[in-house]
Amino acid sequence: MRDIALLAAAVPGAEVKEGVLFVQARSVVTALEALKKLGGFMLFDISAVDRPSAAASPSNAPASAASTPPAAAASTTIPAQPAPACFELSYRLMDMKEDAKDFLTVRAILDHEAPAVPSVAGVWKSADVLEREVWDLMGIEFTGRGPFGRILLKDDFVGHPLRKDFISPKRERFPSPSWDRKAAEGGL
Amino acid sequence: MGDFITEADGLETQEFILNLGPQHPSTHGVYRARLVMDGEIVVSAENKIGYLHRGMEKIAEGITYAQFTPYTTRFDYVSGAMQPWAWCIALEKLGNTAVPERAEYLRVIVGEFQRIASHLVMLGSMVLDFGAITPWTYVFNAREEVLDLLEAVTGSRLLINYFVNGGVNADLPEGWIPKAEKALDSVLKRLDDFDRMVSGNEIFVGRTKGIAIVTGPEAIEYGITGASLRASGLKFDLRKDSPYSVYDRFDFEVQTLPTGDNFDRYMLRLLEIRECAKLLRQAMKTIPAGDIRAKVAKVWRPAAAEAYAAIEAARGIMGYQVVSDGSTKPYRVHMRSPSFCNIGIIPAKAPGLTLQDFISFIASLDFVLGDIDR
Repeated sequence: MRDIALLAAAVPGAEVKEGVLFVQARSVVTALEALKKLGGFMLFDISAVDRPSAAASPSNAPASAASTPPAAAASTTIPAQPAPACFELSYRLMDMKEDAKDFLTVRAILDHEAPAVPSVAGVWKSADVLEREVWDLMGIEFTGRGPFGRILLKDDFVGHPLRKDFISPKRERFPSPSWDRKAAEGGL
Repeated sequence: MGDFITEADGLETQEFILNLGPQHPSTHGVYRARLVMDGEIVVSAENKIGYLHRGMEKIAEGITYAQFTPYTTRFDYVSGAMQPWAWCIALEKLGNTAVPERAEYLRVIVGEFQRIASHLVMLGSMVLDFGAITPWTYVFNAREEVLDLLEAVTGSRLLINYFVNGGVNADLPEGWIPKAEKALDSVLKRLDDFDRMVSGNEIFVGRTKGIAIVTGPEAIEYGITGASLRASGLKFDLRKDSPYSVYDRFDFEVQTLPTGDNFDRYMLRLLEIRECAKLLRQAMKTIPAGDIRAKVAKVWRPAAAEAYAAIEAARGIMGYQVVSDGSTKPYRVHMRSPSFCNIGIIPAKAPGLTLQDFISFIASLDFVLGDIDR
């Protein structure tokens, strides 16, 4: 891969930390446009990580249950990092120019209350489906592109399951009219 | 005929919607395309996916690292053995585990045999979509031989749970390598028969050559990876370009073809199988003796960190992002699946194709729904 410091110089407002190119959420489009202009990159992955603040992170425990004993939350502990609650949104670009090809991670830190970021579907067409998946599962809004619906989950699904405060619904029995009718007639 | 239907009858040509799938044999799973048709010409197409969504990324957050390993084979079930590879590399990065050399060779051997089996399925099912049943039996016979070999090593045929964090599960049984060499010869012979039967067939060529051409820049724009990218003339293969495991020790060529039409995408799989065979012979000749599994604690707690690993799976780049919080369960697992990105080009390329060309186009992209929906 090309030298990350050189790449960072080409992207306005970028900062390199531990091999990751950090950019401001509002300048994601300009950053990716600048990288695309350098040539040889392919956007192949977008992913998000939910990081609620350490205090409000009962991981799998219901968010509303204030009376839940803290022991229920102890199974998954988040390291007591100073970082406030946020979403980490990562774009991965494959560098196809150099001989030793590797990928570059471009990361934006989003607000936890209302995570939103400008869409890069106009820069890379591959972002279209990838952004839809991130919205579907993690609930990050992508502004500046047409409306879109669920891609993996069913259309009437409520919530975004990969968020840490998502409560998995109880599994319901699949409706079976013929079974119910037989049961009512006592034929089972 | 035109005299019978007049404008006065109020009849006119109109477009209609055709739901192709999810229960349709040519969609290779539960893929659904919502097609707007003008007669038999596709006007627009929309991908409808998610029928096989099992919420794997969420499941991973509730179970331990070792427990999630067998789940990974259920993504791309046509190349099950290769699936845990990227996951295991990500875990090994997290835990700084050094994989024994013999285990790496075993991974390459099982992985490449699996790639051959997977490409054989693609070749067979693509011609099956054209109504050619006989060639399908040739490649499935060949695949059966490969699956027998895999079963002898791993114990299962399709959902092969062989790769583990730190190495592999089992060593080769006695006398396996000579058998594998012999089976490889017979697989290649069957493949040559298949090649002679199909690749020059006028109907097959007529329905694939010059249809649904994806140029190199387009393929990069849409994030297409794997054989479909190489069929568009781009020499990109992670095994060669960013070698993981022990791929840098083998001498093999990355195959490319110039046009990027349906025929090239078909032909490239054929060429790749022959290249895999070359690689496999080298690996089986030079496999060292030694351990097959590094010592990994039963209750495994990696340090709080993040790792990303990508491999060249049978269908393209498969990547895993694993975020650890220091406990026994992953904090977040994200999976980049090749098929999910590869089908993104279907709505762009479908308009103007006839329905039967659309079928051959989606067959040539070679996606697996378990890989798309996760």
